[in-house]
Amino acid sequence: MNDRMDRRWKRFLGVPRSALGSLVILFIALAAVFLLSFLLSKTPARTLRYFFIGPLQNTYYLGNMLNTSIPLIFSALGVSLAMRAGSFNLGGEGQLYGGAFIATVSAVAMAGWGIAGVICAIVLGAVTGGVMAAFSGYLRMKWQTNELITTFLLSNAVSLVVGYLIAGPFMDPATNLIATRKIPESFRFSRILEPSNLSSALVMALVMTVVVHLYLYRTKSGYELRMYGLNPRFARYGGINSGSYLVLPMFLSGALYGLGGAMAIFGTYYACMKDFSVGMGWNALAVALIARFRPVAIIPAALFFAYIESGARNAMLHSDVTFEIASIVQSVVFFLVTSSVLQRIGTKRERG
Amino acid sequence: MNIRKMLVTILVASMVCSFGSLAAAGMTEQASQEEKPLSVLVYITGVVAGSPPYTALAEGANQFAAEHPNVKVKIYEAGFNQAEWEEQLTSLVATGEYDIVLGSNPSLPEIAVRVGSKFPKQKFVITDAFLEGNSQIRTYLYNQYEQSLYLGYLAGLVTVSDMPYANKALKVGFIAAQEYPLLNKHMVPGFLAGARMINPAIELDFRVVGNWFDANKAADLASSMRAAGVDVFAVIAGGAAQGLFRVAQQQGAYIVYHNDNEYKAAPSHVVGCGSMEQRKLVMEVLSDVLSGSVAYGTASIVGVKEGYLGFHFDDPAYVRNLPQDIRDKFEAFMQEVREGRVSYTLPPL
Repeated sequence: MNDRMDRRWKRFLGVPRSALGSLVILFIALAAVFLLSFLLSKTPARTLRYFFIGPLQNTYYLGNMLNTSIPLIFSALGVSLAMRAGSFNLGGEGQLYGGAFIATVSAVAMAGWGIAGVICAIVLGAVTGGVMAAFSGYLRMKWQTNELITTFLLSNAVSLVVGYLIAGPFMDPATNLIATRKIPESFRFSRILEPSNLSSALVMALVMTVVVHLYLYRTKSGYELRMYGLNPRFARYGGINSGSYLVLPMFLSGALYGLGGAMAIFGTYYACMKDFSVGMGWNALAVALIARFRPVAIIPAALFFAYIESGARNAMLHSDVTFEIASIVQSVVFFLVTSSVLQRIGTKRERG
Repeated sequence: MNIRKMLVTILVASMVCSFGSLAAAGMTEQASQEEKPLSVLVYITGVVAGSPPYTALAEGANQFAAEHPNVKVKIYEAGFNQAEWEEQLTSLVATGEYDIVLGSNPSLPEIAVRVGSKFPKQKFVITDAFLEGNSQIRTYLYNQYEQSLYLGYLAGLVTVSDMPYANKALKVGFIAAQEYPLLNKHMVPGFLAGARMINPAIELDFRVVGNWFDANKAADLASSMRAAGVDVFAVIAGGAAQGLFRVAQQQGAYIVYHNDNEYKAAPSHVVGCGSMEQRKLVMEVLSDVLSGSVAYGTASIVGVKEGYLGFHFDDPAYVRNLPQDIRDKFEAFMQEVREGRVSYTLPPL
């Protein structure tokens, strides 16, 4: 009984301890903001004020910040699902872009279908991302190719093809932007906190986080997936079909990326613009790394990333810094999250 | 009688005083109108560096602010991700700090319409764009069909000439960063129409880079077009145009350039440069904004006749790079354009 209580206490205390590494990373990233503001700005106090308070100063900026986090949540869930199965999906950007494009053109084509059209278009977008990633999983299963390379290369190729299709055959002739036709108005998600861009896609992002969490930790398939990710050989000896856990997690991972792309279109942009997803895939990877691939931790990690981006934009709007300050901070975060030493700060203490 | 005189005197004096004070008030009002602060947001849909129209836009606004102490200008570069342009513009307009948003891009009016619907008091002045009927937006469209027409005419003269790099194939080329309505409906057709004024058999080889920065891809396209018989190129590709300049110098070809003086980009290969008086237009527009005489809801098309488009005749490279007979024919044609004697139908956008 005492042992059981002790384990519960350890588990309870273990969460903040394991998050200690992520907190240190966040602290260093924020310190970088201070340093850069004093180095790059003639009015550092003003820059810092707008960087830190700007995203929260009114509902418009708050809504936009939350909206920025939506595709990050979907995409980081995608990264995490693959990572939990021991696979690397580096092709998220192309999967997101491809999913968004297919969802958009499908929605335009199914304009008269009503709610069925919305569901079909979103599912098609998710399947597009899923198939792209599953193809790399299949190649690994069949020929032992490295999915880290194949997902990345396939993503780059697909991005170029999608870019061509948007600027060419699918370009809206009525606009000077390089974009497809807009999805029907009846297909668009309802807005929250207007005039910000925040839409009901936020609710779907939260629901999807819970779904992925429940799948990984409350289902047999999720248990097998995690088992395979921790030790494929042990999982095989335990009778788990190893082949399916090379393809299925990749499919789900890509589908989440595709879904993220579709959500961005249906909630924010309404048309697929050329290169709109640039950087989202890599940012999602950083979010997943900060969250240490735990679905529930992805929400605060995505909010942190969105906060940095919105803060930098606010600072740029109201003071004399350029948007590069956000890129530098994001780079710092990216650099730090790859540090095993920082990531394991809490874990080491726990072991000691 | 004295009382009457006194009354009349008081009446006249009071009238004089009233008129005087009214006039003074009017003068004060006029003075205060002149000194009324004006906050201008120059919204760059891209970045200033490497873009002559945006450089002219920013410089024109800054120069106007330097000449008018009551005018404050903020230059904002929105970057190349078009998906973020609307959100950034909305964020800027939402601050309520700017009396006017000044921009230059054909795609800006549609964004301004959406942003303006959320902020009905915000005014926009956009050059290089066309939109009529929105009471918050004033647009000025450079007649790019006309500029392309006379640059195409020059390209036609060169391609049929016996200049060193001119071949026998009746083919001119156009490299664009991307396709957009103004390019497809005005610039490319105008260029071909101009070339065909020299010889109706001239063909156009039109290629698209896909972005505004990939100079290597532009070089590959230019090389392929050169091999296919193109000897004179037009280019609208931003930084990617460097690839064409490189190929023209290495493999031998001629270039006519839109909107800016780029003779030095490929010495002895750039044979003609059009000019776009963006800075002049910006200064005039801001002057109108300051005086409150902007006709919002209207759109103007401005070209050579109005003095906003032209050609860089004054650069020595123009004389050096082109033979006398071609220059004579081209200058005669430009004179006709200036006088409005060249007839063409401006395609609708």
